[in-house]
Amino acid sequence: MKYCCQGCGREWDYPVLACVFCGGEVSKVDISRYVVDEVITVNVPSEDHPLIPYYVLMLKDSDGSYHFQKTFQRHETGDVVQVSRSLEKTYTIGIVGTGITGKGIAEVALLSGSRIVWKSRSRSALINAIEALSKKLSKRMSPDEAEILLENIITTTEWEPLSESEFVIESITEDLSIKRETFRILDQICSSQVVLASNTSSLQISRISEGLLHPERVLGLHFFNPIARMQLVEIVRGEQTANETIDKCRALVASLNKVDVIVADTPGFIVNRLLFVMINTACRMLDEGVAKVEDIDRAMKLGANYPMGPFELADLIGLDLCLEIIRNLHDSSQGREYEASLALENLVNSGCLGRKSGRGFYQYS
Amino acid sequence: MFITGIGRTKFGILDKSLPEMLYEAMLKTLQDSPLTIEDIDAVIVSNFLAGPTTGQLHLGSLVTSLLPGTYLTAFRVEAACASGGTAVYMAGSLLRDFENILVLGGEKLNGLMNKKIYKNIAMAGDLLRDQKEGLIFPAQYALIAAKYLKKFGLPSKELSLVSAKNYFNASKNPLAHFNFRDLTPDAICSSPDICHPLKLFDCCPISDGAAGLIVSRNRLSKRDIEILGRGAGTDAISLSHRKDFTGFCAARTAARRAYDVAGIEPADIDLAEVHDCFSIAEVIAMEDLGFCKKGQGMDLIRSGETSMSGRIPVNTDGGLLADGHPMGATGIAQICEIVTQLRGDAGERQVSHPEIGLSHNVGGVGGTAVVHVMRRCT
Repeated sequence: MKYCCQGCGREWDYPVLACVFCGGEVSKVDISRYVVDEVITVNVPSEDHPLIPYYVLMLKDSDGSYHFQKTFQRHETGDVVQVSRSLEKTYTIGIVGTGITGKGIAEVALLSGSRIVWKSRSRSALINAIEALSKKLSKRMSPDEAEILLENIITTTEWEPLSESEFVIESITEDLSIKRETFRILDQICSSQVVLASNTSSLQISRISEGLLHPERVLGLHFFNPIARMQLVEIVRGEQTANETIDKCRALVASLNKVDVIVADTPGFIVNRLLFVMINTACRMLDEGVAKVEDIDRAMKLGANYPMGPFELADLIGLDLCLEIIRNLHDSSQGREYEASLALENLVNSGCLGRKSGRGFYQYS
Repeated sequence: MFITGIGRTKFGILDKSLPEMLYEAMLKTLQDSPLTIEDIDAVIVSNFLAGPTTGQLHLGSLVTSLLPGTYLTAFRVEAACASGGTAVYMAGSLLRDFENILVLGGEKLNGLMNKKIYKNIAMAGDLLRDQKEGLIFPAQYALIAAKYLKKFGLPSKELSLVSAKNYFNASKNPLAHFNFRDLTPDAICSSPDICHPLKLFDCCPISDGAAGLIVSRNRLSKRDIEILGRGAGTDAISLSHRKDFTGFCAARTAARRAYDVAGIEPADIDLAEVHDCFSIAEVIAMEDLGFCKKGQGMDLIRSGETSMSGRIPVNTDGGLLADGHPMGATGIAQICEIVTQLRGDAGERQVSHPEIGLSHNVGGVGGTAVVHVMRRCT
């Protein structure tokens, strides 16, 4: 998008009142077609761009004006690019669920230039989700720009529109039977080329894909909250997941400006398996009277260079969710390290769920 | 107007704070000049990144705190890497109000996280158009280099001749950041890729350092050097707003103004300090300053005409590439070198009998350019 003087043709990036040269009226011009004029490879990491190498494309629009665009994907000089916001290969991504994770995935997908088909059981949940997303986007860009991005969303309470997607990411409640039913429907309506991903943090992919016609296109895609800020996505390879499915997902993750790790279909994958040993052990240290909450957090921050202590992090995640994950890990591994602590159970039972409820290990006002 | 005193610190990775370096440059400048601190009427401080990098702003007052009880008029000037040249330019313009103006510039960057420094240096580019898209500084000049080499059909290894020359010159400058006498073009070409086609040694270092000089309304001694002409030009901050990627309109404008005021032509210049933040920048500077025609900058360097003993020696102190680039000090240090050469004080790197010298200081990727033309007084 740019702003051009009707009189002399000069251009600005901002909606200026009038042309300072000829007094002409300035109006908005949307640009949709760019040609890649030069590709610069950057091998130096900087604070805002830590992942290297990346590419900066110099693009020429149809009026001969230039623009820069960062990308992680290779492009050649002369490539024609048709999209308005982003140059990554743009995808149509189906999202099932409008919870925190569903909204987070929608946000990063939109910012990367993808189209979204967003499914929920209720119309009102979708309306609320779009409103919340609009608010988030308006912090990053002008209302006009946010509106253009939001036009890339199709909302639906039906399943069929999801079949137009290249990826469908399921982000609904952590309940195996509900997830299996969801995947059974998706398996029937989506062609075998469509990747079906679950954002599960605790269920086995192989159990979710059991009995499907095409289990080879099913995998786990585990995002971390807050999704817009957390760089990692765990790609979980189920027993039957095809290599091609993994490759497609790696490209998707890169287009979302995230970094992937590939992990076998095991309880807790990488992050939760390690993280909840620490959080649960910290809670049990409280049971045992080893140290105070504040001191355990301070010790891990200053002694192990963690950005947050285990209790601060548990409060942020939500103590009910922490307890659920710890119990799931215990159910699937029987490891003593996942025996839930009394301190955690007591807090959850008394409704202290962390930041979201105003009180957890710490008090939030 | 005359330059009546110069002084600078060593450039490099220094164990000194910004105020300490500025003080050292000030002391050396005053020791070099017939003036004392009581003769100074105003101070202009040049710095690029102390605010975002160290959290220190309000540098005019900061310098006055090094001069207890003086209550001097003191300003700070910022124009990215052209802060120093801009400060000298403004000092010249302020001579109507003041008789002797001390210009002090410095930068302290080492000792911080490199990733943060690279981000901060990128602040010389447009926030939305360049910084957000990851166009860090070497990437900007890599674009210029790619366009230039393509347009004039040159292999990228040619650029190594610029760094080889400047590293050799720096080996004769005891205050330079680097002292690698034997850095060959081959070694430069096999150094790591920063942003293709620029290699590590095609890029200037991140240096700490400070420099100072005094601009005076009247001539004070035989050693004074006259500022014969000066010019400053600017251009859109983002390369994406320009049409020409093989030269800088701001630099051509600044040079033309300086030549016109001085009443000279490029051919009259005996030596020059040019803004070689990257090797390609020295090549296009040759053309922007009119030392050769467009597309012939590399010929000038290859033929040795810009070497220490050539027709028009360029960057005898080692330039930004090897003398170093403490941004706030750079434009001032360039003028210090021209003054040193015109005075005949350059020792091992002395050029034979120069009369007229030029300094060329660029901010961002050609967003600001300042050119000074100086003459030895007879």
